[in-house]
Amino acid sequence: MMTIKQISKHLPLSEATFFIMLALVTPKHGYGVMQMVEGISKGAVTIGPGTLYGAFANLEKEKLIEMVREEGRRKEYQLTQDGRSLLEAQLERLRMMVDLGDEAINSDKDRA
Amino acid sequence: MMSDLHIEHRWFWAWQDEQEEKWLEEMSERGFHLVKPGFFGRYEFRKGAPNRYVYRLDFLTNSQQKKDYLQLFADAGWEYVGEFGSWQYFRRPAGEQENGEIFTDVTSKIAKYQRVMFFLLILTPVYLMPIQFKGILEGRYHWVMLAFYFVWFMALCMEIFAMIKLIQRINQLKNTLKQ
Repeated sequence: MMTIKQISKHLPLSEATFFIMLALVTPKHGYGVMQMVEGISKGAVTIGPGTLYGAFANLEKEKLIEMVREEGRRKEYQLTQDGRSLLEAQLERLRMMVDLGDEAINSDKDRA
Repeated sequence: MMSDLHIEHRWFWAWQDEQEEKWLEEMSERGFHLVKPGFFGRYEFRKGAPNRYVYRLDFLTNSQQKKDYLQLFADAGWEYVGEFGSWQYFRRPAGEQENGEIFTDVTSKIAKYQRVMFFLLILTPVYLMPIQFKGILEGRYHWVMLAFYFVWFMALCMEIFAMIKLIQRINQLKNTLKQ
């Protein structure tokens, strides 16, 4: 298991990595990830196969995802426990940013 | 039909991959579609109806995983044309709705050039080998050895030049990240 320090080393996640990890909460193969990311972001985020392949290789090396099934030529991956902790840490950080952002913008509005 | 085949010789350096993609796209617009990417600049085309394609090149060093790598590209709508060394050639019809890029962020584009650089670095010990011959020869340089050293030296110069060019390309990409 990763320590908090090891987790924060990976933060902040790039947009592609964030969405890939989000998709891998449940097992998926590469193309499944591409489709889901495009779907949930309503086309705002697309991930090309070159980018995805590299991200999978890195995440697997860092033991943040693992292969869970092999179907023909397609491998299915899923987040590991460490991957999940990292994703939660990223969400925590994003929440903080949103809160602080809201606060700053709204206090400015009150003054005006 | 054999007569449909068209051979073209053209040399692109490792940092000129985007020029190469553009050239292949122009060839397809003229009706010459890539069949086999070149062995040292030799490209085989097949003459057909002009078509607009997007060509993209990747550099794959981890070839044990080739099967699922190619499957992923195929699933994403990319036709695999072939390879030259570690360079992988893909294409898809232009103007499709889906995103026409194999790399959708700068980080992964940079990683591609880093793989090329790493590959060149691995080659370096091969280039350094002639130094060992020096001791064996003990200063008696035969012209064959001199010629050999000359070739080695030229190869080394080319490699250093390629490294500089690749670093420049990576820095260009890094600058787009900062903006």
